[in-house]
Amino acid sequence: MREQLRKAEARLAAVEGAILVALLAIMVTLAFTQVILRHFGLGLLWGETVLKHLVLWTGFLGAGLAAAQEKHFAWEAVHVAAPARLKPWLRLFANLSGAAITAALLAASWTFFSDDRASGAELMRVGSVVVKSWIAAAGIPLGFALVLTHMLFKCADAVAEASGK
Amino acid sequence: MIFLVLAGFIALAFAGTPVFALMGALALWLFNSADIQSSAVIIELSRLASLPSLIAVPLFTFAGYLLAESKAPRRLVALAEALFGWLPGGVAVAGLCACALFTAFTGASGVTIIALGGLVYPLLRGRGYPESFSLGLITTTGSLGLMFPPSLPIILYALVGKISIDKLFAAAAVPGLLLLAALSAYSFIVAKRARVEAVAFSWSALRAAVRGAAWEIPLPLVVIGGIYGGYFTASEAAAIMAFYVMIAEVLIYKDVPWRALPGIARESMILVGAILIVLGCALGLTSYMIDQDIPGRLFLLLHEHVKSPWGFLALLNVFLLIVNMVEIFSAIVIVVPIIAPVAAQYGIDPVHLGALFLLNLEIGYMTPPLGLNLFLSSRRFDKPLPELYRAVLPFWLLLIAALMVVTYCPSLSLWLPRLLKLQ
Repeated sequence: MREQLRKAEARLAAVEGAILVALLAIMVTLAFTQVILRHFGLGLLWGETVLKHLVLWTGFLGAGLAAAQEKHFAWEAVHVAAPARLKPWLRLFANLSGAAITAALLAASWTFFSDDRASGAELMRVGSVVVKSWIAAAGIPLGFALVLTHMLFKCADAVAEASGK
Repeated sequence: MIFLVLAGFIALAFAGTPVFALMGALALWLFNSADIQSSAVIIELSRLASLPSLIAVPLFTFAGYLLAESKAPRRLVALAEALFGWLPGGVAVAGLCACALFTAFTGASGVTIIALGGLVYPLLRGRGYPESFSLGLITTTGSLGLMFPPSLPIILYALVGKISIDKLFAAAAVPGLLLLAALSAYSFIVAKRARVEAVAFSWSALRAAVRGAAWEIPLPLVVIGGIYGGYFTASEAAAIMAFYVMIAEVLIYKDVPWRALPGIARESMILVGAILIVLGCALGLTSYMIDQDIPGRLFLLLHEHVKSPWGFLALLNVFLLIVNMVEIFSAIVIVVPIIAPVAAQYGIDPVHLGALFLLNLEIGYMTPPLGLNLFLSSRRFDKPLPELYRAVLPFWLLLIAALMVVTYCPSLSLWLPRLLKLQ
């Protein structure tokens, strides 16, 4: 049971990781290109906007993977000092409380995203292509959804660990 | 009611609930209490994308992870030893400089103790430095580079405190150099007392070390020189460094194979994600605090008991040393929006406050009993914590003395930004 859960989560994490690496590659290349272009008095008008939103997307995908590896900043002194039999329950509590709050943040970010989409606001234009602002904003609910999913996986894993399955 | 909620938050924090979730929950609750829609928290969070120079965070972090995975630490120590090893106390000074430079370029202090500790510790012991001194030196210098560009905590502080990154880079550097000088002087005294013999200077060793690190030597010159010289901004320096390090470590030195690159990129972005989500959730909280004038109220409360800016700074130092012992990135994001406006009302320059905060951060890292460096050294060198507490004590006292000097001589942190005419 525990092994199956881990495999399922690992598949999701692999997809997130691949997207994350691709976004970082674009970010490094675009940022460096902008520096070179600036040296010649040139520059891509949309470059800065794309870079700023790429950071947001990368950050939220990274936050999803941080939840998968339980690497979010937290005060862990109690976890370290706790007796071994209590550790899975503390882990369950930390992930469960985190998941509950993330669900509330996801709901709030979905409202934000829906409002943004309904407004039809423009983020930028690349030539004749208009990029809507909701495309950039979508990274936030997506990120919270990923964090929530990984935290729920961790809750299930902690329960399985506590019950020795 | 408020006390119940606060008690609940403290209980959640102790149970290990992630910091971003705690801050998000607090922001949602406060906005809800003020009859503001919950999506307003996310509107504030989305302002992340408009923070100037935010791009520097992922790019510097990626480059730092890449450097840590390469053989750069080995080449750096060899170069520092060849440069400073012949001076009295020179090997210790070499260790200090190598650790400071490495921490600055890799951002997080943990990497330095793990990557350089295993090289510098046997080097110091082999030359005859006492064990306690060697342990104390590495534990202390694991965070020394936080004061030098392009350290990640400086960038994060500048983003949260809304001051120019370039200006804070310059402001923190002089106090950082003061620490480096104080620690070098102490190393010299210890080397004399322990009768450590200086190594003879060798041109051939220096040539070999320079040849070995030929592609890494330009890095600090390009990044630090470029920023201080006004040739490019911190974000541009980050772009150049990320690209350059990738070319040097993957294509030229071949220390990092291509197939390892995605893993390193992923790991570095996990740290970035963990930082940005805390920062994003804090933006909602900060906006509420400013709206409710909480820093103003805190100032009035404090001002009743502490009238002078010097008294406030002393109190602040004690508070920061305790807070910064726990977790540095969260400490910056949570504490700075509250204390910066209070300090401004006391007439303290925000840039001076930034340098002070970073110095406290650095000392907090090695302050017993909870400083992160102590745990890392304990794990790395397999030593019990009480032994490390004793080992870092002289260094800690030295850093506290330096903190006093930096606190009460604002010109130390302010003269370089003024000299460079940074806005």
